[in-house]
Amino acid sequence: MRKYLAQRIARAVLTIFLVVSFTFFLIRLMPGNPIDLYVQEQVTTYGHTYEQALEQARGFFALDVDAPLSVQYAQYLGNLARGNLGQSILSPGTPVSSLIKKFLPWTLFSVGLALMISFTLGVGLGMLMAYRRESWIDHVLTIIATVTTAVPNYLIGILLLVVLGVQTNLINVAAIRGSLSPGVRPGLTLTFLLDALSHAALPITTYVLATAGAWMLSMKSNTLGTLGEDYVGFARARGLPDRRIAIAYVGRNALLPLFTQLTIAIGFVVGGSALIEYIFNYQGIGLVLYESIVRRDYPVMQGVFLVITVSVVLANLLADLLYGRLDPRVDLTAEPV
Amino acid sequence: MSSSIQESDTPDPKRAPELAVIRPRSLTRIALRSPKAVVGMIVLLLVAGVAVLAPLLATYPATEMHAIDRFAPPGTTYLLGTDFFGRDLFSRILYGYRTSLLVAVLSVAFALVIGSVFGVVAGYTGGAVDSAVMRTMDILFAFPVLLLAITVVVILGAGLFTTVLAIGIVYVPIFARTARGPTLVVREHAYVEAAKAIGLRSFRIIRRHILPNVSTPIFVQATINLATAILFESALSFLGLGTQPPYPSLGLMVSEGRNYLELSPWPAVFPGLAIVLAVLGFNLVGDALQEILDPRLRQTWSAA
Repeated sequence: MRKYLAQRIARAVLTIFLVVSFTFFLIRLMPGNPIDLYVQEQVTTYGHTYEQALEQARGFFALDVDAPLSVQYAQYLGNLARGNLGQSILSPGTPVSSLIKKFLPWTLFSVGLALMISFTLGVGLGMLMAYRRESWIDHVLTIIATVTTAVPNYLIGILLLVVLGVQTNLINVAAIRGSLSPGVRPGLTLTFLLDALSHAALPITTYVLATAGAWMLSMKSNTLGTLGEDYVGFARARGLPDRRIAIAYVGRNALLPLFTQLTIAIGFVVGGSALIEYIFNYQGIGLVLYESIVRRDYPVMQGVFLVITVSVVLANLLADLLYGRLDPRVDLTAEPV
Repeated sequence: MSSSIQESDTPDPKRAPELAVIRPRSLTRIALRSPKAVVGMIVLLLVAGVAVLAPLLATYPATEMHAIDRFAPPGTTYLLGTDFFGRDLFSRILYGYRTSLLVAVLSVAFALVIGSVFGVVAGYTGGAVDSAVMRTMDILFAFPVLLLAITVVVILGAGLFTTVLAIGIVYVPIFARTARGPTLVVREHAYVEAAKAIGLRSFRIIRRHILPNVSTPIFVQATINLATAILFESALSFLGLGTQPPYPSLGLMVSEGRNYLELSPWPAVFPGLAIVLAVLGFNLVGDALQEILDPRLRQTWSAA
């Protein structure tokens, strides 16, 4: 088991390392690479000398932009190890790490909460659908789930805005833009919590509507599969109460495959929210990513990529480890084929 | 998009579901009994039909502007209304379907060919080749899909074929895994060993014995991925990284319409619903195929 764990962790670290290196060379080798472009722009637009421009680029990218690529690569890795991700080109003087520190918590809060709601809702309704198979409630929920999984999340956001904001005026859309109202300070106060929740309400609703359907459908099909198992029939024959069978026998086994999906979804919490945050102008890491892409702010882009990659790889690792814990039938130490 | 990502661990071939190979005639018969398949096929035929016949069905040229009829409501002159420039939404949606379907089909075809070759060769050869190919696929998998696509677009510049390539690359590992699983199982069968024993070359064995067994799961996977590819293209276009204006693309139309929701919701809502319809069609057909072809799922389906 210890050997397996070490292997897994080594593999995760290696993957992160490879992805980071890949991104580094990709950005440096692309035609019209951002650093050259930046230096050029400084020279032509602002009339800096070539040396001055290089000096500035050095600051933003935290790299010796003049040095050979291999030296830069070593510098880049060294900087990473020290947590130095360079500076934003668009807002000079702002380190990328501080941008991430400032915006990431909002995404973790809103998408994390949304994921929990969506998962719980999906699992509950999915089991209900399986137990009431072929009843009207199963048909209605199946249709709703099938249709909502085909709707792009940004469209759900827009429809919410149209229906709640424009057509019925139920919500004052302008008042809940951003992640906090002006003047409200973060802290453990009721005002802050309520304000944060009211700003996150629409993004969370959008996320839940966009993803709950998929959880419902997989939970339904898993539960249907489990209901046919011999051990469930045997538990019934032994006269166990239905509640207990539903939770300890059916629910537990039907949930197993979903946990892998859940851990993977956790990895996508960071990256999967860009479109939703963009629609509602919610000040999370997704919005930072979107703006850095649109305005080609490479140091920021690279930094957010890194955060996303690390979280996805860690989530995969968690999924692998957790699976053996949750399902004793899986032998983790067995050699992978 | 997280649902298309599978566990990074390689599945045990003994536990990998063997999809039944069903003759085409009985396949149609079973499909006709599944309401999902019937509804899905009707939707798909409709969407593909209007895309192909767009030049005949369109009531106006897709980029023609009518300055006096900006934001016209749906009605008899403009079936679904007009957008900010007074362009007919119905005609634009028809042409938008062309872009969406073209990108989806080309990108899935690209991923299917490259991914299957990787998967089959890795699974058939085994050993170091297998490890090397599948580890590379793992790394591609570790890249969040939208980011991988965005990286490709940022490098090559936005455009129709960049979009195809971006989505295609993202889907390659999915097909590699789908192809490798059954290859591992078939490789151990007696007829493959017999073919090896009489000295057939690997290429011929793969073509005659492996491919027919791998094609069914790959085909199912392709249908599912066509649905996600349409969503993907629309998301990239929505972000301004996919199809470029003035070409009609459904995602781009939603994105443009979004700025004028207070004036008229239709320019954002109708193209959005058009996306939903196409995705729903592919999803239904993909689900139905999976249920029909996977014997374990078929039991629950026919019992229901």
